[in-house]
Amino acid sequence: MLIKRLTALILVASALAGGVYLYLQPDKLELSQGAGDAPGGRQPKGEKAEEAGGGGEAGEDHKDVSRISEAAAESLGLEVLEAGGATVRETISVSGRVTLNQNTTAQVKARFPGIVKSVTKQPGESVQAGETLATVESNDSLQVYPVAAPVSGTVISRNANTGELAGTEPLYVIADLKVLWAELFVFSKDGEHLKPGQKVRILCLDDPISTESTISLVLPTTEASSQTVVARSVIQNPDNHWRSGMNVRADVVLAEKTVPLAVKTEAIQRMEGKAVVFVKNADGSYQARPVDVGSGDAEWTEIKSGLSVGERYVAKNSFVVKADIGKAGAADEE
Amino acid sequence: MLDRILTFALKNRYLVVLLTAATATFGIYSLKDLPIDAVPDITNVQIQINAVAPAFSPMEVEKQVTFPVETALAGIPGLENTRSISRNGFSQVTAVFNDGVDIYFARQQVSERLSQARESLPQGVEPKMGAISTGLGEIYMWAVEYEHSGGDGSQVRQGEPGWQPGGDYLTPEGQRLSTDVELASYLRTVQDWIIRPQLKGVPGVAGVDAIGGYVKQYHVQPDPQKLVALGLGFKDVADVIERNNSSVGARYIEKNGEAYVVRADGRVQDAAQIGDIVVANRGRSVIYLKDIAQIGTGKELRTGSASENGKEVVVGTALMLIGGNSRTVSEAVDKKLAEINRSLPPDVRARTVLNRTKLVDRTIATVQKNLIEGAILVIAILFALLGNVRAALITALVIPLAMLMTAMGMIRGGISGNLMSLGALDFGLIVDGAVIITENCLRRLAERQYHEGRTLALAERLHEVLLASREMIEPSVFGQAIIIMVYIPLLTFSGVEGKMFEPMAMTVILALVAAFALSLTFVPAMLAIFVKGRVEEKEGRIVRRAKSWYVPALSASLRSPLKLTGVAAGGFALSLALFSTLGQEFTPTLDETDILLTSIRIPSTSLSQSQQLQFAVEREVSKIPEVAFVFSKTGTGEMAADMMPPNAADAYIILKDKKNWPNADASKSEIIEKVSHAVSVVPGNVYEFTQPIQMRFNELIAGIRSDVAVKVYGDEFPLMEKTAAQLAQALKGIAGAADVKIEQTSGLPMLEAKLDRAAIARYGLNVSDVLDVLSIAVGGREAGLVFEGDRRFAIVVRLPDAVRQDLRTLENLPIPLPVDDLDASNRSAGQRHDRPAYIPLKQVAKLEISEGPNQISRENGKRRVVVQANVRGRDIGSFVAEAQVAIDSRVKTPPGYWLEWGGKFKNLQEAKARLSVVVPACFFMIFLLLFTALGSVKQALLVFSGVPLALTGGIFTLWIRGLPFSISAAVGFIALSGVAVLNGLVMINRINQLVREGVDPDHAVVEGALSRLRPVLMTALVASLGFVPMAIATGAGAEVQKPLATVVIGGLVTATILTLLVLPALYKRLNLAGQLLDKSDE
Repeated sequence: MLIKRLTALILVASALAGGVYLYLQPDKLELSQGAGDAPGGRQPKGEKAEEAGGGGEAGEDHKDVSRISEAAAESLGLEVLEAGGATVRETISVSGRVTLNQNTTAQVKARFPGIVKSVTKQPGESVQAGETLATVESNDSLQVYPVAAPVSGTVISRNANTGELAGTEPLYVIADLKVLWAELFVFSKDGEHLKPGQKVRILCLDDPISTESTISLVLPTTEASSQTVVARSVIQNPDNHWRSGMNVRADVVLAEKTVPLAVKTEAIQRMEGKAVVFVKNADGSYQARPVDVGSGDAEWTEIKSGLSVGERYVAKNSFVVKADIGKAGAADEE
Repeated sequence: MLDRILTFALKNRYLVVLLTAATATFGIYSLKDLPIDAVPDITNVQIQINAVAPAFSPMEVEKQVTFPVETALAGIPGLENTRSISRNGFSQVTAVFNDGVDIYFARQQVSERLSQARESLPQGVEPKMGAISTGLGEIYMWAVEYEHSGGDGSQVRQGEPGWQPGGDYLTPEGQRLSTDVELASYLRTVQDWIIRPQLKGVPGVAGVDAIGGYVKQYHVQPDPQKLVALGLGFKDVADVIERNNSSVGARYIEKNGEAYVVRADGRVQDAAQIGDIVVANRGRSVIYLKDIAQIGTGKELRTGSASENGKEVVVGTALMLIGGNSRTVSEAVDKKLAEINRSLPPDVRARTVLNRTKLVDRTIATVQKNLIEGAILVIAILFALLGNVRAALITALVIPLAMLMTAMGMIRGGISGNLMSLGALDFGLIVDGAVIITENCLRRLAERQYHEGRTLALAERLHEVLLASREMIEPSVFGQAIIIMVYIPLLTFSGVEGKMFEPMAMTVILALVAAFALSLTFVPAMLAIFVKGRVEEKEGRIVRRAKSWYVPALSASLRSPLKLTGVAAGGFALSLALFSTLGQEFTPTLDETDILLTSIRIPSTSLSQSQQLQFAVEREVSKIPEVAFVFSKTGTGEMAADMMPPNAADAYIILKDKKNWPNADASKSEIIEKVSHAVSVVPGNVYEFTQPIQMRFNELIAGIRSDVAVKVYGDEFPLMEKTAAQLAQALKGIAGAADVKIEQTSGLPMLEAKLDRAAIARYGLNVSDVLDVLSIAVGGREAGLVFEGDRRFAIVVRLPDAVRQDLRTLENLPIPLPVDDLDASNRSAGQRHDRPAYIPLKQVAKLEISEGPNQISRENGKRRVVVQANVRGRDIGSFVAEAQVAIDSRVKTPPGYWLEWGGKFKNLQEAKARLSVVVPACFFMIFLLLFTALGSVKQALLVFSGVPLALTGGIFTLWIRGLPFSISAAVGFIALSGVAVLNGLVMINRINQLVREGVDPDHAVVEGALSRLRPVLMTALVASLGFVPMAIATGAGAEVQKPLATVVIGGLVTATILTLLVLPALYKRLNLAGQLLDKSDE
């Protein structure tokens, strides 16, 4: 009897020891250091983790799709356009300098060396062809003969004064300023794409002045030390905005084509190394569509494949859609 | 010895009382030094070394900053490990030291090492140690903002500082702010130069951090084309500014007996003066800086921004010094800020957005309320059961006295008063010892009076008190010792758990020891002094009523002891079964009331875009009626203590007072649900909900939060990532694996300039010539400072923003060619046209967009990638074993790479190993104590059996209230076991005593049980009723205390019933009395 009771007691005692041990047993506890896990407070995290985990396996269907409410899209400035044709210009930007048009620039020299008897024109004055610029007394014949302007234009410089000896140096430089040249320095990387006939827009550095022209000539040599090719274009200067020696910037249109399918350049985002645009589906969701891009400029980019004409795509603030699609991945990072 | 103490206390009773009073006074005096906070500080001893290297990519940061710093730290005594993160422009190395290393010593060491490392760091990169603060440090935040934005509703006065007609803002310094950037910059200026210097001086503030706005900078943005035209480079511009912005001193001259100090100040004062600097002379003309560059206040390339309710603000944070008293410090900051607000420019204010005092006050108020109400209940019970006001008051006095002594001990031991440490205190438990002594004294005094038929003389009283106390000393000593003993396993936790529970256990032990000392000295002394006159053995109605119920119950139990024992054993078995169904959590989380909502976007998100999205989040959140306001920090602040990437933002959601809610009963999780729903419409965000303090702890401890982690160490990321992917694959294949995640290291878009070294050489350039241009033009270069009084602002040379963002312009960035060669070649070639004196960047470098590493993590000086997994539905041990086998066979690590296992399972294993020794050892010690007290194995076991009986009730109440099992509940069980054993001991002792006195054993059992009904009831009632306020409280912090109180109350109910009924029955049944007599016969 006693032994039985003793056994019972020991059993009870060991059960209690076990019980107490059980509640102190560490792996029964969630040591999640719940710095954490506020009941309920962290719930969304659990859901999200599952979402993130599931996202990878749930198949391609859902992977690249984002649902953004119209209101949110509007408040974040999403703009949707229809894909269609556009003119795409491929341009490069080069710097250059305005020079005199060598074709219409004349260096007026005295035919026979002699003493300059009179000069009639000041730099800046315009002259007509045949107009007398100076008179010179020939050393040989002691005859005074007039020096006439060979071309019409503006006096650029004068190197003679009355009483000076006129030799081989030009007395006057006359140029037609209505037409000037722009010499553009094109570096070797772009040189090969440059061809006469290409459109060019020449811009002044300081004032908002610009003019359209074409490349008229690409010089045949390359400047050795800087490896630049000089391209020339003729600019019309009716208002005398352009002055020789001015530094200018020029955007050369290397190619210009009208393509049947183009999107706004800022619509294109990169995902996993591929270019994508975000197409708005009929149900209002946005889908990432990998595309093959062709040439493009600051505004338009040609789409070679992956999108068809008439599809609606996110043209502005497309990053928001990218961020929304990519957010499942972002969760892993923290 | 105890006897001697008792005798001494009674003999010198006035001395004892005076000494106690003195101690109490000192306790009150030193109370203000007790650090008080809401939660215990669980941050380990760590030092963060932050370095800002704005122009560096993660790779460069790692190579040139993080690595040298890490290497320098290696080998510091006490260093446990280092870990680091290298992000775009930031390096953060965290050095974790062993617990117990003095933080100031450690900082000293780190500082020495850093000064050595400095030589090998890139120029301008200055590693700094973080503020001497901890996870609890962010105690106070404020937002610097404009009032009456745009001048609406404020007094607009033309020409006076403040808003101007037309919406501009005129600063007191006379600047006119019109653009958003200028307005935001001014807020930052106010923060940096008015608010910060004043707050830095507040005692207890370790540092002041700021985020948001723009640090005011003077920007010089040259037009690259114009530079080209003039043959100048960016470097020339920067140099010329530096040369024209300096001041010198030329000592002094003496004149007519006076000394004149000579100085010449050539510093520029404002943007106009910068513009008037001459950059070049060309022909007869002079070129000024203003001719070629835009000059003005510019937009800093910031790393972080801040917003409030959808508009830009500056958020400042005051960090508390380690070990500070967060309540006093944040109160001091609050006071100072109110003062500062008075001196701020008109319509600019610093508004408090987060104040720790509130949380601490709320929490402490809850604890205080619970303690006071508990104390009142205890006193009421004592009075009701003892029927003697004086005795009741004397016993109750033990509570404040023991508390004061505990507080002194806590100050000594550096334990802060908080929810965990104070929350576990149960006054009932504390006064238990005193209660049984008082009760016995009263009983004896009354009996003696009754016996003598007169009031007692002093000597008689002393004698009776001595005897009564002596009688109770043994159970009291052993009971208290046992209670203390059961707290010991809590002291063996390490790491975070240790930091959380050690203070709690220490506080309780301190309180128990204090109370015990008092019950041996102060209580008897006071009783001897004050309990004179007639002491009636007036048991009160309650005790009489209890007795009338008890007697029949006891006799029934004595008749069939096995029946009741069976019921008890069955109940215990049932409770064990219930226990397994209880939810489990480590510790209940303190509700900080504020919500922290972290939004994470894809890594490539820019700061401005991130801020735009954050505005949208804030707009949605502030629509919720319960939300008072919301403010956010996006990206990294000035101190870079919290290295958030620009794609992440922390929104602090401050809720209104509950009474202002549409539905005041809504729970926190309902609000979180609401917020979660509201923000789900904002695209591109992933959200995580935490709380401010909680998040900071998480960040600082930054341990791996998953159950299992495998770390891959190695050199090259592609290989490491490949291995990590294989690991993840292997882990996924094992049953029970959940949430398998690979640490994301890539995803940062990079614009990489791939240099063509041959081309660079052909042009006669150096690589650095190219890199300099790129770094100055895009990243900017500081070219001196502009002083405005005490404020100083940098002058930065860089490209205009519009140009910076245009890839085509960047490609054409002009790189000046060496001048001499140019002239020579020109001459020899004899070419007529000028050739440019520069080449565009694309001639020598290719710009490529690629994805690079987003962050580089290192641990103990090696790169690492972590694969994490949680384990669901099976035990972690077997999972790890299986995973190890799977990984050994399936994953091949490249040579020179290695794996390391980590995660919570390691802590678990360690804790388990420790506890599996400590817990049985504790039980053995308790048993030993009982054995010593009772001198019989059987009796010891019998008393011990009170423990499972107590657990039964505790588990039942937890289950009924639907509370999960947590460490708080476990502490409750611990306290419970102590009281149960104490009661059993008191009961058995009395019976033994009676048996020894020769009373018939059967009679002795009944009489003993009856005479101990009152003390047992009293100890049980004070301990359980003392906890009632805690169990039903709803204030801040109540959720932490609730489980503990619930367990104790429930457990004591069963324990008391069973102590009163089962114990005597078993005693009789097992014939322990006979044995006792046998033994004494021998």
